[in-house]
Amino acid sequence: MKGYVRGDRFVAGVIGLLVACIVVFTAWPVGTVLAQMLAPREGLTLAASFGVRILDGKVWGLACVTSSAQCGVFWNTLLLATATATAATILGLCFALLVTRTQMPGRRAMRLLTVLPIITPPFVIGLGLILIFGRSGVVNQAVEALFGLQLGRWIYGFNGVFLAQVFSFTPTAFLVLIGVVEGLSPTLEEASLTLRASPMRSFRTVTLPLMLPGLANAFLVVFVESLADFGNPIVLGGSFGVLSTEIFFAVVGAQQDFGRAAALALLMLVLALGAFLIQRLVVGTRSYVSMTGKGDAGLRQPLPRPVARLAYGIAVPWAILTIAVYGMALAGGFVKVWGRDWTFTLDHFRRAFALEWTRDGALIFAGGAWHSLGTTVQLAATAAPITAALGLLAAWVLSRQQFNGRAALEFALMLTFAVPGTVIGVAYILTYNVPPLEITGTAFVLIACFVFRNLPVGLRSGMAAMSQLDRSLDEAALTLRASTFRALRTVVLPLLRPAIVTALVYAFVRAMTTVSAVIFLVSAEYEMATVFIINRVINGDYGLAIAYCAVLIALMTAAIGLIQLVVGERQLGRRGAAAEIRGARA
Amino acid sequence: MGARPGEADEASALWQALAHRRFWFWPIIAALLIALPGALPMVARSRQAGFLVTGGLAGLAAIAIQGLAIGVQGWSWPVLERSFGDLGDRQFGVGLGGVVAVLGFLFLATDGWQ
Repeated sequence: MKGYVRGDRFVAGVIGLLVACIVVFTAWPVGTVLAQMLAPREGLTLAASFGVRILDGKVWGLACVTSSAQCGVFWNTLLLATATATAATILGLCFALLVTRTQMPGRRAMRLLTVLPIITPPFVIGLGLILIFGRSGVVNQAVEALFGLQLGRWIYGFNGVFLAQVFSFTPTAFLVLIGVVEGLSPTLEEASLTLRASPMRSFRTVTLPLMLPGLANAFLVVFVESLADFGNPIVLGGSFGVLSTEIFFAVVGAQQDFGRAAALALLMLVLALGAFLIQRLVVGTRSYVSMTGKGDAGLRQPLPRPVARLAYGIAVPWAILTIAVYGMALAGGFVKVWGRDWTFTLDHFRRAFALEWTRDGALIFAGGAWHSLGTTVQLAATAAPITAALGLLAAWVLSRQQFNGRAALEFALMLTFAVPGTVIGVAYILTYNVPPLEITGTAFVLIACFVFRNLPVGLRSGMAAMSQLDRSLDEAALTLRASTFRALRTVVLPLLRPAIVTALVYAFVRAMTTVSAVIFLVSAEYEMATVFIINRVINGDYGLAIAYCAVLIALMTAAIGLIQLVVGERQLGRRGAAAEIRGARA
Repeated sequence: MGARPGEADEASALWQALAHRRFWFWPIIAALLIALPGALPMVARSRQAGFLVTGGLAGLAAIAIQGLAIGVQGWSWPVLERSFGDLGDRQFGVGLGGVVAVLGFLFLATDGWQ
């Protein structure tokens, strides 16, 4: 077909809908942030206002270089994100190598690590670390009892936030890297060994360079996650400020300075986009293809011994620590007062989720957390199908239709992934607090936030599934004079069932656990579970917060279990060594 | 559809404009009329697209201007309040009818554009 969109009215409508959604829910809010940053302050010129907001000592200060004072939040954020991304990428690589290239016991259990960041509310790790290393934590108490030493508050500040973020985001790096390590064709390593290179040299000169895009991707994803992270810095940061918390305090604190929040949000956006740019430069345009679709009969080589030892030495203690942190985080919900009164209790759960019956037999949701849990489930369940539908429609349009501006649309859709949650939160509150679309404080703004924050999940899931469907299937339907919509509905969608289910459940789970954006958008009527928990943490009510986290984790686990049940695991076929040996004997 | 289709808050845009003097709906109705020839078979196909795109964009613009002019607390600009009197508190954002109207105009515009 000819014309601007080269499709029928359904295709044109879908493209128009996507463009309108991006304009209204991404471009407009981000543009508002930029405009707000440039708005003049009373009694100051435009340039002076901009300078006051952006050239602040609290942002750029370097006092930490020459004294024990804190540096500016920009440097803190950059240092934290770089350190976290480096550490998490190294740990993720160690786990990925151990799981795929060794016979380590418990490899299947290690794979469970991949679901941890998805099911965990953002501050569980922070709480776990406080319960271990905080002033009343088990380690501090043990050290004091055994050696009479007081460790003090060392966990609050850079140390604590760094540790918490590495715990939180190592599974993300692992998730990225395990796919890369599994996908490497063993034939290249075999070729290297056949040419009499040592296993160590093959690993260093063949395997590692082929993993470069994966390592860069893992680093980038963790870097952006660390930038956007709000839960860990607010729980453990103490006087160590980062951009996400500074933005929060600029909006909700005594300052009420949206211009400053916007300026800080822009800095965060620049850091995130800068990381994307550097990643593109590092990976470059070189080809890293090792799977060509041709017969691939190589055997995976075992890890060189020094590499295996190093990986074990790093990954195993970390895995034990991770289990301890999660264990402590959940155990904290079952004791009266952590560090002081270890009596077992269900009081925290009762306060949160008590049910009472009136004399007339009516059920009352008496616990304080029911309202926020109900609202969260309701809004997440509303947002999930919209996210999945829009994401899959976008995937279908981008992978199956050729139209002008296709690359721009794809970039704009993925931009929502690069914009940190705190920036989106500030942008939404600035944009939708005034006409023409006053929706701040309503459920609609929260649903819009969930949908457009999580849209890339549906998009990527749909693109991946769509790439496995041959175009000839929809072409056959079109040849038989079906409309594009009918071809999509009766041919493509039924074949995309796993992608639909995945997008639905992940969108639901991510909406349930998000905090950085929604903390700006909640109201008394629409309070979210994560915001309820963080308010309890700020008030020092750790028991109730932990009890609530445990319930959320149980809910999320059930949702993920549902995915595994319905969709199943990806299977990438490789011959096993045993099969090879049997073949050789025959 | 509401349970009381004749009431001011539940009637169609046309009825609200006619019976309840909500004159700000007239530009939206006018935009629909602009798009109407785009659906008529006697109009040349080459000209249908122009009507659809113009009507669709005009409708979207009318809704956007209406959104700017009327906020949660009534008229946004004092000059409108002085001219047309107090509107009282209004709903947040756009209602279901507004969303359907926006989508309708969007699809009219894209239908013309394809």
